[in-house]
Amino acid sequence: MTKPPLTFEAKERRLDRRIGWALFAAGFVALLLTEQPVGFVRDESVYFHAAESHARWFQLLLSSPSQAFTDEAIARAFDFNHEHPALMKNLFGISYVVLHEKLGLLRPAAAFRVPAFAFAALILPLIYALTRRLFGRPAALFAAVSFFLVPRQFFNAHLSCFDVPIAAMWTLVVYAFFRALTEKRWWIYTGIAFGLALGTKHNGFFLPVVLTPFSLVLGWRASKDSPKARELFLWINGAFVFAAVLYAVMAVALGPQRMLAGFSVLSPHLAVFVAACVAGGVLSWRLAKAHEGTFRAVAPLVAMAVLGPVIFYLHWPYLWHHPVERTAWYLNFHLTHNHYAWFYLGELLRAPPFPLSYVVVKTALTVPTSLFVPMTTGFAWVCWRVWQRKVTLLELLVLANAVTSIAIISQPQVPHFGGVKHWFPSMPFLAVLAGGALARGAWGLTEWLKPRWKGASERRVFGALAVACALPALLATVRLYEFGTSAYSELAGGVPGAASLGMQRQFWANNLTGVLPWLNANARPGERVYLHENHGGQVRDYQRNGMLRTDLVIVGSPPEADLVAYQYHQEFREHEFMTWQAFGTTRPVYGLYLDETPQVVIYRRQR
Amino acid sequence: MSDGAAHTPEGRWPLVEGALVLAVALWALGFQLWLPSTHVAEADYQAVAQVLAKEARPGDVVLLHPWWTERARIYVPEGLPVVGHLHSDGEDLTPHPRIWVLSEPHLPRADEGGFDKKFLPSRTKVGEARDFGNLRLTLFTNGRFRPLIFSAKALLPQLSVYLEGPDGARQSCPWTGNGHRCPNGKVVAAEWHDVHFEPRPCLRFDPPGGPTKLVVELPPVPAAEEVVLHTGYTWERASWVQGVTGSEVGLEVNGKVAPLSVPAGVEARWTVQQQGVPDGATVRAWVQAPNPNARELCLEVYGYGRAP
Repeated sequence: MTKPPLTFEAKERRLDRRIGWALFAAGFVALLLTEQPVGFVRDESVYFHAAESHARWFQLLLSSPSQAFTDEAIARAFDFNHEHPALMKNLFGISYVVLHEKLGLLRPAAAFRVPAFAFAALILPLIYALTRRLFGRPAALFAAVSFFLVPRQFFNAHLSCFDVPIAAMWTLVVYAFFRALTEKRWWIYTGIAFGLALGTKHNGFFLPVVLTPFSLVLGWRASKDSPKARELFLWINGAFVFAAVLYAVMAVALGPQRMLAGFSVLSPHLAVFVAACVAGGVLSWRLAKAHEGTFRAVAPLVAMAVLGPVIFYLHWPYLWHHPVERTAWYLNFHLTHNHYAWFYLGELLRAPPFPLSYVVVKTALTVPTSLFVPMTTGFAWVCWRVWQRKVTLLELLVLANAVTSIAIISQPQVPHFGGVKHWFPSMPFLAVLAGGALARGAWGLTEWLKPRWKGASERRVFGALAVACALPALLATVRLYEFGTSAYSELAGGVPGAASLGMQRQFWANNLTGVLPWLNANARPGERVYLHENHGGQVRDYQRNGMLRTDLVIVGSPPEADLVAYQYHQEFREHEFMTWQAFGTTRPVYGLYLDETPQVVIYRRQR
Repeated sequence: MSDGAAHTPEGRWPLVEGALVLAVALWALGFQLWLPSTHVAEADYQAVAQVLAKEARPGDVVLLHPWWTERARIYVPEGLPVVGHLHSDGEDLTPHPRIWVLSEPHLPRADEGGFDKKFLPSRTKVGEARDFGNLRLTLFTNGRFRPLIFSAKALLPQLSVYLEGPDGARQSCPWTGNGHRCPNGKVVAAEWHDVHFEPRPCLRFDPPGGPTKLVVELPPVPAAEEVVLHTGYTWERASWVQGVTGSEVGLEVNGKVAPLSVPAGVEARWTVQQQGVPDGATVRAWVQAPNPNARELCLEVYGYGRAP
């Protein structure tokens, strides 16, 4: 029997799927091929160590399961760096064992990083899929590729860290949520994706904040003509609200500490959660039979409420024996996080309140201007459509998610260190809006050009506009991606302009790679070297990846050293002056100067 | 909120948006292609170094513009001080009669106008600026110059350093070869320190706590028009507010005190001065803090003569 010919829509869907896969593959390969020059940031070496420790537990799980399930074995493997959940570190560790230790295919760092590449590459087809629905295929291609044309994003995409993976998971949850509104089964995928997002980084906890209003409004509207559906809709909401009220009463009556301590397998505390989940599940089941439209609006949220905590608990063995107190510690760590000094427009920010405009200004000064401007006009366009009440559901969803992470980090009391990475989950959605800006702009220019130039077609104009926007961003990315924390946009005046503006020169200490070849070539055998801002884990990783000579003696301060590699930070200048004092000179011998800006400066003790 | 996804552009927005995006993209492309042309070749630095080695005089200083272009430090001849730090454009550079301004005027946001506004008052250009690729070297005479008559740092071994109780009782801090070691274990030594992001060559000064003062007394000094004391907490200590107190600093000339309060939590360099120092005067500088925790100060005392 021959297959019936594909419809036009089916052919289009198939082509889009292929493009999506091609984007994923191209993104993954691009990261793999450009991985080697990217240094190990301070956190990454910590995560390498944690990941290796997790991997040893998985090996124990295979060799001796009964021993592996004990809290002692779990704590031994997972206690280190338990301020972050385990999903990415589990994957980093397994990848390291398989691709480096077992197969010997990759150097240790690359093997750890492979899962990060996959998560980062996943962002491209997700952006494509969202933009495709709104603005068409060319805009979708541009939007997807543009995510990797932001030097700081491309740099971060290489790292075994969590900032790009959570951006991927955030986008995935939103994508699944959108599809769940119209398609079967996607409600459960939304719940699973949300659980994995929680397992990636704590940003995931904010996803319900942005998705719940959509679910409630759509559920309310969908049930408008069905009293039965409206009743079930209200009962489902009531079940979870009632659970929340019960927890609030417990917290007031018992105090937060006693309430948390009371969680156990057969406790009323856990029973409330189970009851809410069961009630939510049963009511949703009835709603699915009563009114599919309302069910589709509500089900993703119910799935998130039920599956999110379950997956979060299951994915992290560290929680298995002490779920509440360890989760509470984890959340408290992030609620009371330290503030690190941060140089911003000529002022050293040390403590809150931080400037409200910080996030927007920092984004404007770091995202290539040829991408930032279409992001901004695209954003303005959707805002205008909201004002005109013409906005579509997906446009509004994209707009809300473009704003949410930026709005959260903009709060003056929230820690402001870390460059731009903390609001990465906004960036895929801003890329979607940029794609829209190009599509509209190409249409507008084409309409204007047509009477003046016969060859003007929307496709040609779009291509030219896309190339014009992508090229400067590509040049900046190629030149700077390995020193991504130093990258600044054209609006800032590039790296030198940002230095004159008084912006943070760099952070995370990975720019050391810019002077490692000089150190390896010029350090005397066994010379004592102080690598400012680099901790022992980074030194270990540079040495085991063949990037730093192993005969060098790494010391802890300039007075102990014969060579100092000082990382320029406004807040750490005392370390440079300590070197002047110890070495009796203010004259460096070498340095990494990006577009003339000092990044890493090497001093040698005078003999 | 409608359910449809696709929509057609409306009005003139698309044309304006397209033109704006295209213009910005072309400008950005131009910027990216131009930026590498602002880099400085090593040969240009070498050429500047040769000029400085040949023409610089003792007492000269090199000032960097923009302030962060410290790559020049690698090449400037040893012994010729280089000044380049946040806000260094406005430095008086008092003890230096001549200033070599080494600038990179082609860099983005170099802001020559802003620099000139802070730097040029009381300065006179000597000859023409010389360009070496993207480097520009210009010599100025410093109208803010005053001859340095004495400095506490230069007199370090001859200083009399002691702890002085509220009743006037003194405990000596004898010279050890590198610094003056006090009975409380703290050392008064000449060191580089960060005071509000400036590298300052100063005396490290740790108040002993309570009402007791740490005092440096200069040997009888030559006559000077003015004696100036600069101080500030080193590094990040200036920003601390928890578990610290402010400090009281004094500059005395023959017993006449010019007091200075150095508060906690304010990142700054503080200055106090006295006019008219007679020949053979006794100059003392002291610090006292109720709580000595993290009150490390960087202290400089200079005696300046009359401007020529």
